[in-house]
Amino acid sequence: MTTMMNSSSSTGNSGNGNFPIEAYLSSVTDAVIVGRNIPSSWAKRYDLSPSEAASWLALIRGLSGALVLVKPSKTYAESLKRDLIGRVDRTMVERVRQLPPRVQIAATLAVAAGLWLLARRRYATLAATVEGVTDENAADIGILAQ
Amino acid sequence: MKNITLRNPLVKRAKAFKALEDIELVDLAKAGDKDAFGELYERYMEKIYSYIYYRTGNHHDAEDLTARVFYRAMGHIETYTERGVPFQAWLYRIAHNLIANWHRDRGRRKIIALDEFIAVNLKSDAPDRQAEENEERETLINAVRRLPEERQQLLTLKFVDHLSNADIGVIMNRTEGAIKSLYHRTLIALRDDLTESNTPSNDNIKSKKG
Repeated sequence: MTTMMNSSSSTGNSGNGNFPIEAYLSSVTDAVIVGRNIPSSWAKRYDLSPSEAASWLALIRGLSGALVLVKPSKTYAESLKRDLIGRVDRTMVERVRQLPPRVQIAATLAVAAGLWLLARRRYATLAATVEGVTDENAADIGILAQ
Repeated sequence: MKNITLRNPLVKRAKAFKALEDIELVDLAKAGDKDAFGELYERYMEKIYSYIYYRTGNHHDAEDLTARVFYRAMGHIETYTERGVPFQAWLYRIAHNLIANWHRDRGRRKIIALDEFIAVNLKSDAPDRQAEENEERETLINAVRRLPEERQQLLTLKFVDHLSNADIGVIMNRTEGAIKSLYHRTLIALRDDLTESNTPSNDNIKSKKG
């Protein structure tokens, strides 16, 4: 914050927004908001001393860090949408995410157990089939040998 | 206009809406398509909510006014015509008018609940640094809250909603140059306020006055 306090000579006396300092501040703010680097050449281009440029930059970065998007609760957002248009469209993943953590864990375990059972059954069937084929082959070989 | 058929499943339809421009969605909403309005709601609800939150200072009123903005928008969407005012700007104007009424009715301006910001936004590994950042942020937000209404509006639209000077100009009914100029004056006022509040003698005077 100390750097923000450095007073500068550019107090501005403009009305139309085309004065160098105003253009500089807008460009720096846009760059800070999108997280772009600010080349030191900008300050020179706008005829600002490095300390003055640094004090403006600190103030703008401070504002960017302090004034952040405040989101409403998901419950409120969905309830309002439901009231407005009558329903809320959600994907399966979004529906699961809405559940309490314990329920999510239980659901995950249930799905995993189900998959494991299915895989086991399929493996057993496959093994039985392979075994049957082998027995048949052995019988065929036995018949041929006789 | 892209063709959105009612036979599509809901989720696929919602995805198709995402590819549409605001004005296309507005046309569909005007024709009575509530899902099109739902997409517009998804696009702008958080921004409008955040804007209102910074102007009222509490979640309760932000929720109430956000709901009113969208009910009003839905109720009057047939009267909306673009004519240089994008749908987003139209929503902000509705929000602005409702906030102005809110301030007038109550005759007060609440201070933002800073604790919420600090709890949510600052999670640093170094506690000392975190405390310092919290203090700086609190000082800055308090200084912002002391600014005149239109300057607060400008900072919210710029930093919270990330709007360009041109878009802010449409919302605030000013030219882009005038917005740049106002922004410059706002930063000067903020810097002066912060310098003043950092001077010990001024703190004493303020506390005596308070």
